[in-house]
Amino acid sequence: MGKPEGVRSKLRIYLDILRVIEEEGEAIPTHILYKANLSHDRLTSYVGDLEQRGLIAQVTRGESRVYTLTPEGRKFLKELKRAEAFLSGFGISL
Amino acid sequence: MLDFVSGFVALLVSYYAYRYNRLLRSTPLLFLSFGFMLLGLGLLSEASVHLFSAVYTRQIRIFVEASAVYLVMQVAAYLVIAMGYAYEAYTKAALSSPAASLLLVGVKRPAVLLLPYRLSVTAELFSVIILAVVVYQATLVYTTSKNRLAGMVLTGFLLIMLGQAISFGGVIVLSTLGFEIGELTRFLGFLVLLGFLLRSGRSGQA
Repeated sequence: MGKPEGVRSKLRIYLDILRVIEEEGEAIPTHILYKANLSHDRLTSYVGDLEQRGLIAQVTRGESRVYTLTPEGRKFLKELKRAEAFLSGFGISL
Repeated sequence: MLDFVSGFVALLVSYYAYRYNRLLRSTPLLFLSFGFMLLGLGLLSEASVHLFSAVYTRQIRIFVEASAVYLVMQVAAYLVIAMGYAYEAYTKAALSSPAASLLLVGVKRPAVLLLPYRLSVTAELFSVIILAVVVYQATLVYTTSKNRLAGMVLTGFLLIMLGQAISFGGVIVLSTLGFEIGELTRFLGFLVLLGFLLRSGRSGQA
């Protein structure tokens, strides 16, 4: 709410991606791209960041690759959700 | 006792604002954290001094001085919180996002009645005006978002402002009862804010 509509912060995008992966358990890139509303380039960049930080992990299932949350990722997502709720009480955007 | 609990809640809000600021690097959160810290420390120190002076020294001067210090800290805390709101509202340039709201307490026990009349009236009036601005911002936040948590923050601020206004009335007419009612109302506001903290903390469980 605090930012012009259509502009998402990096953390907001991280949160969206992590949420999709949490909902699906194991998410394929196409689902993340679609549900988190990202272009392919941005998806690659953000997923790379998250992977590098050890928040998500890539797993191979047959011929496709999927992403799962690591324990650190679950912890981070939990904290982000709490922060989002706290901020919403004061009208501050993530 | 009410002051101790209210001060604890204010420090808790300050802690969470600080903790989330470390994660998000948000300036309004810094204002919130600092404002609530001032408020919490003011409440706790005033309550502690009053308790100590009542039990040990029984010197009215210490009692009164503690109230004077708290009054100043309270006004400063309200100002910092209002600045946080202003920062969020004006830097984001979106009417639909009237920034964070902040809370405050404001506990003036009867000792305040012993302070110079002009100082008490000025501080109380100033606090009510600043709180009215904060409540206005919190109302905008709630009406645009319809978020239950924003509603809790609004309710908390509203009760705190009402309590402050009642205390202001107590100063005007030099009524101890007015202070007690005002203090109780503010305390209810803090309880609502505590509820907000608990509820927002549960968000990560889902």
